[in-house]
Amino acid sequence: MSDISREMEAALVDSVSRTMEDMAFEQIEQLSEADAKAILEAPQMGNFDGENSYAGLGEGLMCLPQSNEQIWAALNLIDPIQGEIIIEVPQGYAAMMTESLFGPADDPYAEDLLRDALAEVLNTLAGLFVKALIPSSREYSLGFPATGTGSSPNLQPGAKTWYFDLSGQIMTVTMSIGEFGEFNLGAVTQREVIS
Amino acid sequence: MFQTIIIADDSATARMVTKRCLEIAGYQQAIFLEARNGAEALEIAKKSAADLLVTDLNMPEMDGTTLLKRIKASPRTTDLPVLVVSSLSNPAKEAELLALGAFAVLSKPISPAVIAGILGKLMEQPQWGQL
Repeated sequence: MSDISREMEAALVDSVSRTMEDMAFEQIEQLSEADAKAILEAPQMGNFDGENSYAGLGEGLMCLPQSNEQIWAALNLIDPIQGEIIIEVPQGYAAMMTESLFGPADDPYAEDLLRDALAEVLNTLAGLFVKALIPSSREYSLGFPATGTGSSPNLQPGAKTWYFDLSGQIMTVTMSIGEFGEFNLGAVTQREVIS
Repeated sequence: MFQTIIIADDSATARMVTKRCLEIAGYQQAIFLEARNGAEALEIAKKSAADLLVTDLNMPEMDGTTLLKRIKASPRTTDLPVLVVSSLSNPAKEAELLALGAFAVLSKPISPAVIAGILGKLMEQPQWGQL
């Protein structure tokens, strides 16, 4: 396991910002862990209200899935940087992001589409991250994103987590870097792997 | 202006992002034909009157590189301009794709301004400017 350098951290934060701005049309703000936990623990903020909408997400979102479970996407960095990145958002935010891309829908978006949106966000930001750190002529490769709902796969010891504010919702990005970058794929065999 | 555009990507989200970029770039009247992999895109290209293909590289069944080779190898589709959009591009791969006949290789995330600029250059080419 390698330490995450300041250069890597800056590249990751910039990649997340650029991806969310370009794909999800969302200005994001990095938060400290303490601020993120304060938001997560605050009542009403980002919690599903149990009826028809999400607190804090405004009106017009009645069609969104009625659950505030976390959706995650995970991807291996294969070459020349080995490691893994996991992003995690509340399902309500994934639905809002999907709606901003696909437009309003009468019925809730299928969970597959929410996962696909998150996987594409991760794929894009991972590409930006690696490209920021390697010579422009260097080839690189990434794994295919895996996605799931609920608990995300455990990363290697030494992983670091960053927190971002997305319109009052919290997105976490967790990364570990090391020569043994494969997360335990055996743990995700029951989950969908987007090809 | 391009009127029928094939978008090939295994991610529905990526197809939608590309479509929205094209719409914002001035192609809101275009007909968009979506393919989930290279094989589907090739079939659509052979059977439709598409005048532009925008494809991802990393796709199941048939990847973007193979799709590009097949498109350029077929007399029926060899003139179809191809834009490659990928998060896996690098100068060596870009050179390979351009040598195979891609008009341009764009890195994700794409923006309407970038795609409008590329399509503007494409329209200046004599073989495609009459579209």
